[in-house]
Amino acid sequence: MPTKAKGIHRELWVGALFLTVIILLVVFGWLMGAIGPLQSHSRFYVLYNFAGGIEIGSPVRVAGVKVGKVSTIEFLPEVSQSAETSQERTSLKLTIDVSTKALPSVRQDSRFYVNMAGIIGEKYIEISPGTSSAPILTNGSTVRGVDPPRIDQLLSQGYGVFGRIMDFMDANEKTLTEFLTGMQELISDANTLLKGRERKKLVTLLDNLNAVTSDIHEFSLRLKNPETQKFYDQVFELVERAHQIDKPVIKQFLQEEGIRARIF
Amino acid sequence: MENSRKWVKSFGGMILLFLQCLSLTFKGKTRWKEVIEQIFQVGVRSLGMTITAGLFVGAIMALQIDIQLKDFGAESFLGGLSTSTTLRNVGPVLIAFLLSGKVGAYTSAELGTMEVTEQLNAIKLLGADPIEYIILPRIWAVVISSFLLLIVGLMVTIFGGVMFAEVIGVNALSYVENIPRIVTEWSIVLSVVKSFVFGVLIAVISCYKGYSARGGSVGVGAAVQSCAVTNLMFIILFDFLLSMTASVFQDLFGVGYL
Amino acid sequence: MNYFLKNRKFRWRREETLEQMYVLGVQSIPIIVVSLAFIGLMMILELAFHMRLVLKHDSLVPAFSAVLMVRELGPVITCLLLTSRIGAGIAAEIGSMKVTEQLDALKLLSIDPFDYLVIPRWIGSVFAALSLTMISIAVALGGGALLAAQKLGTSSGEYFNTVFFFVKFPDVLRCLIKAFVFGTIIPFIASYQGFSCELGSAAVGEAATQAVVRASLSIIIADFLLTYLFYAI
Repeated sequence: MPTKAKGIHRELWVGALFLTVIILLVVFGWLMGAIGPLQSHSRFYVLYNFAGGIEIGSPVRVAGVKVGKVSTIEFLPEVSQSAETSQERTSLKLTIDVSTKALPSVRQDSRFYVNMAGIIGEKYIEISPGTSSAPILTNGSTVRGVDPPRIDQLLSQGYGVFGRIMDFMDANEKTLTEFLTGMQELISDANTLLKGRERKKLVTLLDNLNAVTSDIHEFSLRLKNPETQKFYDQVFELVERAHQIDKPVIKQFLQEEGIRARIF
Repeated sequence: MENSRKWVKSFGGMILLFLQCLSLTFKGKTRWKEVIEQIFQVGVRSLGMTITAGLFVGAIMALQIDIQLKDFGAESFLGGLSTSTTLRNVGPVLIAFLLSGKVGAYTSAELGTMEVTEQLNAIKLLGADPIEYIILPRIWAVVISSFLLLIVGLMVTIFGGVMFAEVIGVNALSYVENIPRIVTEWSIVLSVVKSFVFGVLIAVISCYKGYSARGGSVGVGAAVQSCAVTNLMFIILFDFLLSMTASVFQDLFGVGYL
Repeated sequence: MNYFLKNRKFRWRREETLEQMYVLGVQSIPIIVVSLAFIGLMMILELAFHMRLVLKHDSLVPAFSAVLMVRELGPVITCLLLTSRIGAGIAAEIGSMKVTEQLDALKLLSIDPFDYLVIPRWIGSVFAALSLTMISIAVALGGGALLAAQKLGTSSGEYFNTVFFFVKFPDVLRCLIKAFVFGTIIPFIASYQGFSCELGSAAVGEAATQAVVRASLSIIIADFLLTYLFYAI
């Protein structure tokens, strides 16, 4: 049997154990956010049409730092909402609590995004810090949040596009088929041409063509000699001179020559 | 100080008892008829309890893992994960806890009673070795029956998990099909090794505690209590050591991964 | 069974209650702390293995193991250890009191044995279960933080951040309710076994064995029922 401890010793130990447990309970409660440290929260109402997976208790972050959480999510009856404000109709109203220490960053031009973090896809509300010129958002004010992109809608639009392509294909099936068969015939004709008895003729044709091109090649190589270059230059000079021989010159020449001719 | 001396002393006593039994076994002095008799006494009587415990352990793990996986958004892994966690650690530990209560406490109580009522001394007076005649068959009986009961219990945990999955609305077939995705043959090897080691632990500790009981009915009660506590401590310790070894093996040789 | 159902008036017995709180609660601390530290370490190891298998990375291991520790293994393993430590003890003590006819002596002194023996043990056991469960959770989380830093390379701040994203305060309260129930189960089953013990030292051993087995099995079944009640409904 366990040894018996005497006197005040036991009470000390039992009391210490009890105290430890109470301290642990308080520490856990504080760490897990059930017993908030004595700091006040500001409350905002954010309107969304689509919340993208936000739940009650999802964190709220300002510039990436967790500063609060979503406390309630309400569905708004659309009719009354559209009647009482001139804003566009929204279907969700989220109440978020933001700790006061982050309040200077939350201004009237802050935007309220729904973001996703991490591998497991934890959803949170990201508040972008506003510019310092805009006034600080007051407690209890209602703002319009930026609806997250609706993946489902994007997908359905993508389906629409594909559907239209399919429709087009269906409607013009005949033309498409004809086009394709025509292409196929063309290709098969070319094939027979290349493979059939016309092949020999084609080969001689190609050989001739080869000879012609090689002749041309040689010719053009010769043309590139320095001598031919000189010849070119002379021809060019001649043409240049001949260019100056216009009508008056010819007339003058004829007159002079004519005179000389008459003389001779 | 006194306490830790006692602990070390009993630890040494256990090792000596185990070695003595091993050497006696290698000398071929085990009376297998007696062993089978004891397996019936110890093992078969615990079968019902083991099956009940296995069913509930499987169901608890399926329930708990299901709740957690919903938090993490990975419900498709339910069958594999819960079976694997149950087979590899939670199952052997919890069922071995119960067996150490049932088999271990029974053995230690019986041996303690024999010691207290001087039956062991009577055997000594007759010129026989009580370790050879009484303890050795019991150790082997407890090792074998604990090992078998643990294996049965582990199989029943799978069944409990499947049954509970059906209760909470997971299709039993998809649960079962999911199991081989996570549970590899190395996991099964690990759980079998754990079962065997726990069987040896329960046997040696219970026999030692029963054999070293002194002093009347109070002594028997004390033997049962200290046997249960020591069993649990050693089961947890060896569970950790075996898991550690397994993880070292996994890291070194890459075994166990799919 | 009839023995328990009789009308009786309960008295606050300071000496006995204090003794039981000390014996059951304070003296169990080392065992519980050592065991739960190992269990916490092992859960991290094992879940790291599983998470690598399933998700191919292990940033969620601390969270997963912490949730399992707080909701399930913390109270259950603590109370199973407590059962083997105090359940057998209570049954053996009361059983041997019966065998040595101390119970009859108590009755002769017109002291109600149930009142004198069971109620202090019940208070002590509940106290022990509650406080040791809290300590065990703290130890398991601390051990987890150490091993996570060692093996997975997560800093302790990161560890507690992921842990407390999933472990909420109501989880701790539910865990304490579990501990209360388990702490009630142990002394009542154990003392019932002790009171209904036959004469002779063999019977005392049998009573102690039965106390451990039945209490452990009841704890596992109660744990299943409570988990189902808390989380699945």
